[in-house]
Amino acid sequence: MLPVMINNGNSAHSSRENGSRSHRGEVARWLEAIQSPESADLPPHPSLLFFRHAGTELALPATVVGSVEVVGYTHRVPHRQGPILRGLASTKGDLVPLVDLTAAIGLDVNHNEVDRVPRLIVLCPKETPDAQLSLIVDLVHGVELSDPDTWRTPDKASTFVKALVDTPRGEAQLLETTVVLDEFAAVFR
Amino acid sequence: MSGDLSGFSMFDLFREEARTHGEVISRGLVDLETDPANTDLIAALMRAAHSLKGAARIVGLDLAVGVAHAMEDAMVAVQNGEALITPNRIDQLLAAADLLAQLTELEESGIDDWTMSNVAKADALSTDLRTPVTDAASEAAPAQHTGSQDAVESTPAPASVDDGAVRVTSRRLDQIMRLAGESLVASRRFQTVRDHLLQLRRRHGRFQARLREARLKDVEASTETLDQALREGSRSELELAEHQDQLDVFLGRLEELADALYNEVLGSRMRPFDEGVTMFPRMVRDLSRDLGKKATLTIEGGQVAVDRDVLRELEAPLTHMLRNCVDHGVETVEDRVAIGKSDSATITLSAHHQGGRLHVMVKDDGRGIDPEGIRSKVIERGLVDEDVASALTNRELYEFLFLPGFSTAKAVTDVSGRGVGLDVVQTMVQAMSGGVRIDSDPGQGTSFQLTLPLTRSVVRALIADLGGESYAFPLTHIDRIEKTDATSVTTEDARTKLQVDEDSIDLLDSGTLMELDPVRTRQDVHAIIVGGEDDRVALQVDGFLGEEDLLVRPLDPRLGRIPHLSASAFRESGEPVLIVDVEDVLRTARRAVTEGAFAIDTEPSLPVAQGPRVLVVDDSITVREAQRGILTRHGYNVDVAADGAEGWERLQRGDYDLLITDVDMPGMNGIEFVRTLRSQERFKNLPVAMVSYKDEESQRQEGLDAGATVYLSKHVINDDQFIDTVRTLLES
Repeated sequence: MLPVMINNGNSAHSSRENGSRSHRGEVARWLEAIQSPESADLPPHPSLLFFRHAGTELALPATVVGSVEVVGYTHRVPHRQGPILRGLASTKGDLVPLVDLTAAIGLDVNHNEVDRVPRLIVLCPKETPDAQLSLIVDLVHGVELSDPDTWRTPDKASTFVKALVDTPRGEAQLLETTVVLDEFAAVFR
Repeated sequence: MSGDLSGFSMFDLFREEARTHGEVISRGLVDLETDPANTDLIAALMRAAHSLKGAARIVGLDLAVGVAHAMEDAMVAVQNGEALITPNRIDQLLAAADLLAQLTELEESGIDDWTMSNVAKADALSTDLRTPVTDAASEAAPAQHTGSQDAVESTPAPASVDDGAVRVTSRRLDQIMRLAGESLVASRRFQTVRDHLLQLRRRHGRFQARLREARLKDVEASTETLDQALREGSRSELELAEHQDQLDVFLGRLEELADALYNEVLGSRMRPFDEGVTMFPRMVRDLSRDLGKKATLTIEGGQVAVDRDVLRELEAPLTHMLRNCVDHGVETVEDRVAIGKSDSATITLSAHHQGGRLHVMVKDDGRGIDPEGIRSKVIERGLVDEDVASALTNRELYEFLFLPGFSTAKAVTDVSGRGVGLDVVQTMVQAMSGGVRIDSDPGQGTSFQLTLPLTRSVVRALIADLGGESYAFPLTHIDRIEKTDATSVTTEDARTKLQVDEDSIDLLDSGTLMELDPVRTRQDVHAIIVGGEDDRVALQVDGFLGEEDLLVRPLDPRLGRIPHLSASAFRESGEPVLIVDVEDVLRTARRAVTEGAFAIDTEPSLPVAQGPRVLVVDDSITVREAQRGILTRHGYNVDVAADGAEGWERLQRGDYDLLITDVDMPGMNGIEFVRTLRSQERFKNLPVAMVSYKDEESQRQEGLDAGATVYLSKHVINDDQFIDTVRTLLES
């Protein structure tokens, strides 16, 4: 594990606007630094965005994360509501489907996160920029570099989990992005 | 195209020029046929052919140079009085123009192939065009030209008018539109800042009042301090007032700018109606000539501004209607003369704005539609019984013409007469949030009247609260709004009614309609009255939030077609709002009425039927209702859904014995729908009939591969084959 910058996610701001701008800015700087081809000093390890939801430590490749935002306006979608699709989230002038990971990947629905600082993780894969998706999660830790050689195969087969990654906060499940995007979109209809 | 052209190749520039000249030639030739002595027109055509020749030469298109040269020579011969303009000569010139128009769609890499495959055709056309026509009487029959069907299909897309406009890609234009809309919304957020300043000023006033009070109570100890505080307070108040004034000025200016920018961009989306219909005079001319008839198309309201999206989407339904007019509406020359009409029919295509809507009419002075013929056909096909049929008004009878497969034509032709077309017209117009109506005066003519939104980019809407969220109802669809109390609500025959003046209108709970929580407010009734004279419906909401201009954004396509919703938008406050598809709501309401149960999907699951239950899924209401009528008459319990997504939802909640589904549907199409249901163990053995106009073998195979049990052509819906297939599937 090669920590670059870690945001403990607890620096929530009382003002939604200020919090959003500040947090988004930090994540944008991380992503820029790590994704920039000029960042030759950085080791060639993939960067992951670590977060916690429903008591489970999770991670996503930073390359598919467009932004991390404070939860702003949301709107339910008539005829499409369900435990997975929670509605549409307003993000940077767009309305993006809002997915709750709890039901989507089978996490503990009864977990009550004490340190909850809810954030939207907006997924924006480079290959399919129109396939944006927002995940509402309990807490975002930040972006860190991670050596794939240290990743472990999950003991229990799961469609959504690609690997297990050790972190100072415990074991995190690295989500399989393609499956996440495809499977979630399938339930929108 | 203007300004910096460095990004364009020579061939790009040629294409652009060829498109402009081709448009002039095509339109001019049709006009010339009816006015062959118009020397100005002949000169304009000659110039266009000449310019085209020069442009083709620059890019080395020798074949095109030859054809354009022959066209120019032909026009020169006419100009010099050495040749006549006859219908055959017009055919030849149009065929030449069509050939050159192909270049406007060609990639530069395809020039050699195009040249190789068109050498013979170009030579033949050049030879024909250089053979002078000196005897008009020798032309007894239409020439065997390249065929009007081809001509109609290959008529180049309308070129932008030469008004000095910069060509902007639609993608970029959409982006500018979005930014303009956002700036408008952003500017209005300053309202909040101004309101805050006002609050602060009031608070400050109270602070000063308290100081004055304190001064009165403790004069000796703090007079000087309090005086200072008062002076400071007064200064602060003055500063605040100044800032507020400045902010007011700034706000006003910003709103003006944003409005101007928004209107400017919106205006750039609007194109003259004329621009989208340039190909139709030629189409009517070719088609009537092929059918041995005479007809001319007159365009009225050519300068009426129409949103470019609406204009583009109008092309297909107008094509259907005009072809229908020429084929069915217009009589032969002999028949017209025999009844005292002029030998040439007039078809009028007109456009005008009224009531915030675009009205388009296609009208002919042909034979009209015999309502009794439709009445007989309706009875003969068993669509309604004789008693009901005899009570139908002419307008109601004309509605049957929108049923798929319904035609009163005595003969099927290549042009029309199979009953395919008008249902497609209705479906397309409804998809544009519009409507279509037929009126006819037997012996005098028929008119098709389309009512459409002026633009699909911006909509003024009433914002209503539903379950704490905002929903927008376009004002053009609202008859009125009512805020009343619960005493105005009654129950009649298990239907909830709202008393509005002298009328008792069905009241629908919008929350239930949207499958959300029922409307919360039961004492104060907030109702939005929508629909026409005969089918008004009151939609109950939790409250009214005001009127706003909304920049329409499409919903995420991954959500499929969502019942009763058309789009999304952001409110001035930045809050998202979903725009209600009122036409779809009305369709659901009408369906609920015909089903005899006005409460819309209020039960958590559909009732289990006693007999075979059939689910019909089709986005065309006419097809759905036709199938429902036939199946119901044969004793089946039928439910319907408007698309794959709604069908999938109903299928999971109901207990069906057979599914009949269309293929082409918005959102989840039939192929996806059947694949989805076959992936579920529960539906592995459900008989599925896929019904479509697409009846080629490859399309049939795709349906069967997806999991359909049988694949039927929609043409058989009114035949015994349809009901026989249903019986077979259910027995199996």
